Amino acid sequence: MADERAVVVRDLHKAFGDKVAVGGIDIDVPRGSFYGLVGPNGAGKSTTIKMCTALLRPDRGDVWIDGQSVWADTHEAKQRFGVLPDDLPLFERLTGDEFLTFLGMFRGLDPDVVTRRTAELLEVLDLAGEARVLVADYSTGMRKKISLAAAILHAPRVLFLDEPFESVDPVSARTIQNLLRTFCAGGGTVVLSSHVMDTVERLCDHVAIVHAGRIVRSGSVDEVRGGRRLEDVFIEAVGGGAGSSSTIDWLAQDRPTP
Amino acid sequence: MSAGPAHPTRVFVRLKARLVINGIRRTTRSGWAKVGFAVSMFAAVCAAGLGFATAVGLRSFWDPAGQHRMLILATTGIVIGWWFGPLLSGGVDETIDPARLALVPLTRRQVRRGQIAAGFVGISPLVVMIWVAGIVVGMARTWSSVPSLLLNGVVVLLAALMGSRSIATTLARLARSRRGGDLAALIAVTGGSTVFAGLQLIRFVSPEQLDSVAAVLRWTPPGMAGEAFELASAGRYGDALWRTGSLALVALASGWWWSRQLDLLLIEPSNNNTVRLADQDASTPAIFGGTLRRRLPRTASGAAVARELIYLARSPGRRAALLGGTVLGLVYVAFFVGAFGNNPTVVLSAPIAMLFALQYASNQLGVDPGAFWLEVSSGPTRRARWVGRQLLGVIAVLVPVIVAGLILAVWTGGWVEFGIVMVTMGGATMSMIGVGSWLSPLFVTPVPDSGNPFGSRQAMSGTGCSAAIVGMLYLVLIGVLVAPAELALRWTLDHQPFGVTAGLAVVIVAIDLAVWRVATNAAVRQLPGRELEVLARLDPRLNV
Repeated sequence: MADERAVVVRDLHKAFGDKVAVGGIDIDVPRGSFYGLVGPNGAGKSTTIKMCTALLRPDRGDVWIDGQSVWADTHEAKQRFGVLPDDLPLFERLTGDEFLTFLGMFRGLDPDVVTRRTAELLEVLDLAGEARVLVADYSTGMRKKISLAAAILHAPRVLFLDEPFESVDPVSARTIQNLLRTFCAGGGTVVLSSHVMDTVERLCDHVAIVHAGRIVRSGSVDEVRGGRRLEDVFIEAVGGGAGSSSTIDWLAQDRPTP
Repeated sequence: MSAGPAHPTRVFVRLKARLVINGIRRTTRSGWAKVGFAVSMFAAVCAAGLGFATAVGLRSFWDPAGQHRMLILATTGIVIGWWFGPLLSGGVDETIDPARLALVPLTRRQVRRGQIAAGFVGISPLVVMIWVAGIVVGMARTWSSVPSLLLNGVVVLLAALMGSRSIATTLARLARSRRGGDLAALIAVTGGSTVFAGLQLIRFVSPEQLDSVAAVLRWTPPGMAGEAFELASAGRYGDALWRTGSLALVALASGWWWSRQLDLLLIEPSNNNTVRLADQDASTPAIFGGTLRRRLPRTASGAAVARELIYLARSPGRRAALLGGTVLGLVYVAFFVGAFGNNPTVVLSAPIAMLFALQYASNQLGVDPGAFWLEVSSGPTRRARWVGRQLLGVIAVLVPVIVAGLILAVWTGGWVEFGIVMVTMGGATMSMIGVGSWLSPLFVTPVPDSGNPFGSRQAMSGTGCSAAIVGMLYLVLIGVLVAPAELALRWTLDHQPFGVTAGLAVVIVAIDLAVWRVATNAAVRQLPGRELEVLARLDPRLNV
C-alpha cells in the first residue's frame, strides 16, 4: 500500500550554541492535507521548515518528502517540494517575470511551459501589472507573492510556507488561500507556519503547536481544539497569560492633552 | 516536476548578463549616477585598450629582461588582483551569492560550473580577458606556440576567478558571526590594500627593484604562469607546461575549497548566530554600560554618541572601514616618502591618509541608512542626530592621519611637523565635519552596515565612482585649508618667536571651529526640510 504520508519528520534536532532551537520534533503530514505549524515567536517553526527544505542542516534526524530523504539526496528532494522561506534573498535586479523565468529554467522546465505558467501566476497573484518591474521595487507583500509564485512554478507535490500571509493585504491573502486550496484539491500538500490562529483554524485540517522547540499538541484541527477556540488551546499549551502586562503601570496612566 | 535544467551553465550566463544589464539601467536613473557610470565605462575602455596594446607590444617595446619582468608581474597582478580587488571595490555582489540558489535543485557541480561561466560575464572580467588575450597575441611568435599560450591564458583566468570565488564564499560564511565578520573584514582589507598598494607603488620602484620582486614572484604559481608565456613563446613547451600546471593546481585547490564552502553556504543561508553579551548592572541604562560610555551625559546627544561607540566596537563593517581607511591612506602617504625621501617635511603629508575615510565626513547621513530611518520615525532633538555622526567622522578622519603622522615622525624624526599636523588637522577635521554635515543631505549615498562581501550593491553601477569624485573634490577643498596652514606654521616656527606661532595656531583652530559651528548650525536647521528626500535616497530598494 502506498504511504499516505507526504511528509515525515523524525527526531529533528538543531541547536545554535547553547540554545536549543528544535529539540526532537516528529511530524506526519497526510498527503493532500493543509498542515499548520503554530507557535510563539522563537518556538522553532521557521527552523523546522528550513530543516525540512534543505536550507539548514539538522544536528540529528531526517525528513522524508514523498518517501525521499531530504538529507540523503537533497537534489532529488528539491524536485518534490516548493518553499516560501521567511528571509531568503531574491534576485533584486530581475523583473518579476524574469525572476520566475530564470527559476523555471533552473528547474529544467520547458521554456513554453515557464512562459505560460509565469503569465498565469502573475495574473492570479495580481502582479501582472508589475511583471516588468524589478523585484527591488516590489513592496513586502509583492515580494511575498513573487516568492510564492516561485515556490509553486514547478508544480511541486509539497509546499512549505513560512508565514505566507504576513504583510499581505486581505484581498491578496484571499487570493493566495484560494490558490492553496486549489493546490490541495489537486493532491498537493501544504505545510505552513503562522501566528494567526484564525487563519490556521479556517484553512488547515491538521495542526501542530510548537513550543520551545518541541511539539506540544498535534492532530486534526478538531482533535487539537477539543471544542474550544484554537487560540485558547494555543495559549494554554504555550503557557502564556494576560498578567504580564499589568506590571507596565505607566502605559495605563492618563496622558495629558497636548 | 522536472529533472533539472538541460543547460544550467547557459542559464547562469544569461542570468548574470541580465542582472548586469538591469543593474546598470536601474542605477543610472539619476544624472549623478549617469556621470559616475560614464566615467567608469570610459576608464574601463581605456584600461582595456591600453592594457591590450601594451600586452600585444610586449616583445616590441621591451628587451627580453623587461619582457620577463613584465610577464611575471602582470600575471601575478591579474591573479592576485582578481582574488582581492573585487572585495575592495564592491565588485563582489548579489549576482554570485549562492544563497540565492538554495531553493533550486542544482547539483554542486552545476552551481560551480555555472558560477565559473557567469564569473566571466561583466565589465571587469571582460577587461581582464582582453589583457590576457593581448599577452597571448603579443607572445605568439609561431602558430605552434598558440595552443600552449592559450592553455596558459585560460589557466591564469581560471585560477584568478576560482580563487576569487573561493575567497568571497569563505568570507560570506565567516561574515555570519561577529568574530568571523571581523576576520573576514581583516582578510578583505589586508588583501585588497596589498593589491591597491602594489598598483600605486609600482610607479615609484626602479627597474632593478622590480627585477628583484620578479625574481621572488617567479617561484610562485602565478609568477610561474607568467614565465610560461615567455617559454611557450620561445618554443620550450615542456618547461612552459609544468609551470602552467603549477597554477592549474592552485585553481584546482581553490575549486575544491570553494565547493566545500559552497556546500556549507547552501544549507546555511541565513544567520543563526545568537550573540549574548555579558550582563551589566540593571540600574544602568543599556547603552550607557562600559567604562567610556558610563561617563556620557544621559541625554539624547549622549545616547547618539553611545550608539556610535557601540557600533564602532561591534560592527565588523565599521571596523573594517576604519582599518581599510587607515591602511589605504598610508599607501598615499608612501607616495610622498617615495618622492621626498627621509625628510621631516614629509610628515606634513600625513593628512593625505584621510583620503579613504572622507565618506564619514562628506556622506554622514549615508553611513548606516537604518539609523536614519529610526531617527526620522522617532524624531530626536535636531542637534542630537548630528553629534554621533560627527564623532564618528572625527574618529574616522583623525585615526588614519595620526597613524600616518606617527609612522612618518618616527621614521624621519619630524616631531615638530607632527605637532603642526595635529594642530592643523585637529581644527581642519572639525571644519570638515561641520561642512560635511551641511553637504551630506545633498550627496547622500547609502553605505549599509554589512560585513558580507555579497552584500555590496554598488557593483557595476558607477556609484562608487561618483562617490570617489565627490571625495576627491572634497580632498582638494581640504588641501586648500590644511596645506597653507601647515606651511604657515612651519614658516613662523623657523622665522618668528614661538609666541607668534602659538598665536597663529590659535587663530587657525579658532577659524576652523567657527566654520564647524556655522556649518553645523546650518545643517541642524536644514535637515528637517530635506528629511524625506534623504530618506528616499537611502531606501535600500532604490539602491540595488
